Amino acid sequence: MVMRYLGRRLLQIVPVLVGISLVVFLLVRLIPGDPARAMLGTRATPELIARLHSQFGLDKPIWVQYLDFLGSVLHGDFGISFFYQTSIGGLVLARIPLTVALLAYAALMSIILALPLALLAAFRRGGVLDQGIRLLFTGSLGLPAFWLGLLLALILGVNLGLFPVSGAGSGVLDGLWHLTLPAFTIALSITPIIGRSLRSSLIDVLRSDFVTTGRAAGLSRRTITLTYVLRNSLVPAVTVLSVNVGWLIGGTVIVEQVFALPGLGSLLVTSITTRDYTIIQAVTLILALFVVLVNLATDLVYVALDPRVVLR
Amino acid sequence: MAVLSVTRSRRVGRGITRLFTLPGWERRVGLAGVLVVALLATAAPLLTAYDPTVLDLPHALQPPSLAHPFGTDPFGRDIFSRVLYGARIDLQIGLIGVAIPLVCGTAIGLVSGFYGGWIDGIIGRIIDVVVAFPFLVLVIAIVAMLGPGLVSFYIAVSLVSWVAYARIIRGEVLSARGREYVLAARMLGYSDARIMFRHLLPNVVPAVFVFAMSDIVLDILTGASLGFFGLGVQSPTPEWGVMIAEGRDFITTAWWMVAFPGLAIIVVGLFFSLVGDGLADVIRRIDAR
Amino acid sequence: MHARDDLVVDNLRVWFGHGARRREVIHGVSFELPAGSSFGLIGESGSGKSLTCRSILRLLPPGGSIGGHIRYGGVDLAGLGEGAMRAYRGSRIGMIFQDPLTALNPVMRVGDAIAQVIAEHGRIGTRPARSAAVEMMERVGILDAARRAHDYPHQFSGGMRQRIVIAMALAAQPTLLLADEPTTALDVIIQAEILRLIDRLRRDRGMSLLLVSHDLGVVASVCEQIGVMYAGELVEIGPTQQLLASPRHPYTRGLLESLPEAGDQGRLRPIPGAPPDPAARPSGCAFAPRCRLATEECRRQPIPLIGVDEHRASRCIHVQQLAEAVHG
Repeated sequence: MVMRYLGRRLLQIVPVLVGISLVVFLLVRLIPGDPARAMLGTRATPELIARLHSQFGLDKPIWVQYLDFLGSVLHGDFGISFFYQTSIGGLVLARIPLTVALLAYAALMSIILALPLALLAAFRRGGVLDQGIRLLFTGSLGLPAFWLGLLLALILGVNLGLFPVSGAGSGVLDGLWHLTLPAFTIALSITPIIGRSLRSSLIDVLRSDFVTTGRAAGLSRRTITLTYVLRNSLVPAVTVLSVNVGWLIGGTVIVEQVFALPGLGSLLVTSITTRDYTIIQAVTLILALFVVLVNLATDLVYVALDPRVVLR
Repeated sequence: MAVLSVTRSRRVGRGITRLFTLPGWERRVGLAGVLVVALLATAAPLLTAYDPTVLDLPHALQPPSLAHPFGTDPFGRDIFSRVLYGARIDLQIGLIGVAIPLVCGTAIGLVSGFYGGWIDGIIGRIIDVVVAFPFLVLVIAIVAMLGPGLVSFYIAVSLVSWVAYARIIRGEVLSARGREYVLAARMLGYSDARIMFRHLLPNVVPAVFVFAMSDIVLDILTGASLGFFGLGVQSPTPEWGVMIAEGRDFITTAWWMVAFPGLAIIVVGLFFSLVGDGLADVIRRIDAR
Repeated sequence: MHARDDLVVDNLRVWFGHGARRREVIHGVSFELPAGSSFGLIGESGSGKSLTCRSILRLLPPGGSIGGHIRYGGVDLAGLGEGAMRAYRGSRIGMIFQDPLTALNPVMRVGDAIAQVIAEHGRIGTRPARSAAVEMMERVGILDAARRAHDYPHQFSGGMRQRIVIAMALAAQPTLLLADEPTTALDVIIQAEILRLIDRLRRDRGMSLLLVSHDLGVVASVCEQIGVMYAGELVEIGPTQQLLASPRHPYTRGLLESLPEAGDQGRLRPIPGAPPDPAARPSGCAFAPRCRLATEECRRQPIPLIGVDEHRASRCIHVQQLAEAVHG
């Protein structure tokens, strides 16, 4: 049954995937003038331009180019990087684990930060604590991640020497240690969004009839919080993370730059200075794919979390 | 009945003005803050004697003092005046960066929700695709292609942000489609355009204002991030993100270069967010009535 | 002298809001529910019957506060703190609510939910609690209980879910059951089944029952005494048969007359008008604006409950007139 559901969802996704590939393909068309010339910059000579043209098929009609592009992408072939002189597919693949680890770490941290605050605010709804927490969330919506990162690196990293401020470290534990400040930065910047959403969901849960039934049955506060409130908040929590995965990814792009982490985000940004447009395309595609996958995974997670979700 | 629907749209128009005058400290404080910031930005030349771009090397890297309330940078430029002039750029980024997607997205959402059918289907698909891209990533990619600069930023943001507005408006239109005033207007044979713009629009637009406020904050953050990466406004024009990037190398010795522009972003973000929250409250109260 | 588990509600008042916006919504309700008997609280929506019932277990909506006394087993529940109150919920006093569709935790298997109540109150382990839960489910009439204990609420019909709600409420063996509109959301046939179940369980355990409903028929079939509520106060109280046969308050009479009867020629006689807005109560009798018998005296000042005989009382100064109207 799960397979059938998955199959159906995958079919639903196909138009989106096609659309994503189209957008990424068209990105290069945005370049004013000749993309080959732009890529070569000062090194542009007529021979090199002609070579790039034939290498990238820029002389063929546009729909043929798209089909070629689609074909190679489906084979995992993103071409060769001009700058790195190596397969882009390989480059990208090597950087995926770091970015994914950072994303997961940041997501976990943001829940750890946001959930207690949201719980507190929801339980004391309307009170001073609730208002204070809401104000905190509202105020921190405008926190720039790059600024936060720099300050955290300065205070916790350089001044207090608690965490490293650059590089990815080696090995699992050292890697996690290196990712802590970056993940914390991302977490702080999205906690207000997550927190507000969680607070609202928690208030709904607290007001629901079944919680009153639980209270009327004399269950302890602790039991009600754990098995009635929290258990019913898992779905909203997963939802809010899934909906905001785009912001999480944006955060990793910023943070990888600030903390010099060799992930997909920093690859994207450095490729802009080297004008390696094919890398930019590849990374954009992969990241969009990631968002789609996360949304798909969320649907499956719902099945595990909510017994009412029936795999039709 | 036609009178009813026209009167209703007029009443809502008055309601929109009331959105800004009804009680509620969040909205008031936020609006006041935004106005103050806008005033400070416009009045920048009056508030500071220093030109934000002129070098003054003898006074380089000075900590905050009475003469230089926010200190100076390695070129001797006064940070306070740079922050003030920077406000012009960043406020512009926030407002223009929202205005274009708001207008385009609203129009597209209106059409999509009103006509439904295959138009809605296609627009819906386009929205699904754009939404699959992380916002910052797509904006960065587009700016990378177009070449760094403020104009590229506006183009990129417009191409990506409109979807959120289209979705909101489409949702509102779908729920409003069955309401009496729309049915009445149709019965009277009003043209589609007239129904959409004179009847539907005033009723669906308030929902979008709340989102627009948070979008302004988002745009300022995105613009500053691009500035930080060197993809937005170029030196020597002061922009808060660019200033923070400049201060990065001096963070241990001249913390004021990074601190104050960042605080400026946070403060402006706070004010706009307050306005958004306050507006949301008011709309909820109006709806409840 | 009151027996151990008598419920004595004495001048119960409920307010909502704080400071300047504080409003009294229940105005001094008093009645007695002797141990092992059944009392029905009836009234339209907004009459305060649900609130009165909920105040007993202090399960009011946010912003609510209570005054007066609620004596149970000699203790004044109204004076207890939240922690002490929790000790009463479930184990001494159980409560069931109106909407079975939303009353159960959607992510817990029903057997576990009931077992949890048993385990917490009885301080017993999970295994014995689970088998006790299955027993409980059987006692409320769920077939194949052992298997169905592993199911989730959404896998049961409305009537079945209400039975599970009842099972949860009675799992810790309370001596008083509060039922707030337990059948309102169910269809007529199931209503009768649930009422029969509640009545049977009450008799088997010697429990007291406080049944709240807007449906006179529901209350009349199960309760020995009836209290009629209007605009936040009790307007008539008495043994069921007597009250139904000869009502001593115009509102009660109006309620009875408005019930469609099988032999009727199809003319409904609802009570004209609507209950007063809690913020704008009339100064005298709250029912006066809608009452055929209303006189100047009725509107002048609040009417107290006037005892008719040992077991009956009515909040109407024309009590005699009504008695004569019926018998005369």
